[in-house]
Amino acid sequence: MKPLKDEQLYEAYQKGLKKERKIVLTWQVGIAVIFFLCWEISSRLYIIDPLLFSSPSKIFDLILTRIANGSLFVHVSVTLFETLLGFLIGTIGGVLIATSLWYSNRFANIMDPYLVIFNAMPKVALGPILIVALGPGYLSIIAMGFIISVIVTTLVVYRAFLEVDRNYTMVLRSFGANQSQIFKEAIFPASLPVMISTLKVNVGLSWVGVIVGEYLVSKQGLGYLIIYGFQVFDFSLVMASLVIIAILAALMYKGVEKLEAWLMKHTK
Amino acid sequence: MTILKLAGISHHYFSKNGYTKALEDISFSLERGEFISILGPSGCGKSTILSIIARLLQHTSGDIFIHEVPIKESKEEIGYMLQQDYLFPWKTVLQNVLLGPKIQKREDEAIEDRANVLLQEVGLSNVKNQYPTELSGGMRQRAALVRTLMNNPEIFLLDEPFSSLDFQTKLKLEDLVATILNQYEKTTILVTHDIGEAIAMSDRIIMMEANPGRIVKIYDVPTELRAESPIVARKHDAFQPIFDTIWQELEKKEKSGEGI
Repeated sequence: MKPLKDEQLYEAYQKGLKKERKIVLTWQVGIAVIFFLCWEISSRLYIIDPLLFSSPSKIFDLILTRIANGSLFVHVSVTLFETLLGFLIGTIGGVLIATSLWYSNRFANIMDPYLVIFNAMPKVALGPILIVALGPGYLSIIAMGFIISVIVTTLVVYRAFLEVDRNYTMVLRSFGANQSQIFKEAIFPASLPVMISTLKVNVGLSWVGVIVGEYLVSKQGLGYLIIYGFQVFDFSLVMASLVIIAILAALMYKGVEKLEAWLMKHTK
Repeated sequence: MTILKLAGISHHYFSKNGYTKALEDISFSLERGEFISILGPSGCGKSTILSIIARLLQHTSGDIFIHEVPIKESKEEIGYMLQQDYLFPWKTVLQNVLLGPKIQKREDEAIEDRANVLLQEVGLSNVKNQYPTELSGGMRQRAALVRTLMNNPEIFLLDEPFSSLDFQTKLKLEDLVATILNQYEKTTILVTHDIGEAIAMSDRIIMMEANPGRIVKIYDVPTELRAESPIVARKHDAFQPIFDTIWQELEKKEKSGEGI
């Protein structure tokens, strides 16, 4: 057999890659199609109770009518707004608290047991307290999205601050840098990758906080639709809300991923 | 003119479970433009001496004077070069070099010109807008040298700055550093555990032992070696005799169980 030329080898390699991508995509689409088909068929044949588990076609119909009469948009925008706000305040708040812990060792030592307790505490259990304190409205729900992500952010980012190579600090101190200059020139930029990766975690956490918050109090939002659907036994509505939440959360996650890539590129 | 004087310096490291005496009664002084090396096994407190002179550590007893002023009151700039370059990976070479002036809020055009001249001198002007990760080890250490030079310190502290480089790069960089420090008349302390490097670069060699860190002996490097650049000095006839003397002294320490 004649040995292949360099270009031919490279072409073969590229072809292999393309083929692999095709196989993966086929499987991905296949699994989804089979899943929805099984669901639809077993619902129609009463293998599963259509009243409880609905069916893809009913859910699809429902989403279409809800989009048409505009009622879906209100709920989606309310939930999105609350989640984004909870996510932003939680992340920024966490970074700020971590910064203050870094500035003062003594403050960090004093706060240590409280942070442990708050971190170990299931934050959703604070729901009723939040509602009493902030009233049964947006504020409590946003606070829920905030509270669930802020402590984790604080702990993770603070740890990252502490793990920055001490020699960078040494270099700066040999130039006579003060605490804020050390933070600005070394600690913050060195911890940026960790902060960005907490964004991804926080997206998921804020969704949890907001949906739970809506379960408890709201009159609007996707969490409300789920609870309402459950109470009036309209499981198509429950399922439809779940589908929309899944899509939105995935989109938001992808968005943060894009943001991460962009930030990494522009702050190396 | 005596630039730096250490008199009876001791240092303790304290921890929850007790303390260790890192340095005991260290005394020596440095004249302007002098180059000395501190040689000794790991754990003998070589780097601790540098950290104390750089004001990064507060010694527990003894006195240090810079230009006859106690170190605490002295405003003298001190340049400190570490084992690794510790260039900030998120800053370009030029930004790294301008870090000192930036911290001291005296960045201006003259300073930037000076940075460019120095970068040119060490052969880095073509990569000044690149990031440190794109540079080789030798180039990075040269950039770190320029960063330390930027503040124009009179006293230069080198903490094994060549130890992470391959041999060839190390020899070249030794030469470059020696030339530049000589040219700008810097007073230098080099910490190393490479006997050859100490002999090739310095005027005097302080030998230390560990537990606690003490000065054992101070060697004067023969005058004919001092005049030569490091690469030439390594090949000089006077090089091997003093190398052997120091080697034997270190061996003796090791045999008596005080060495590494």
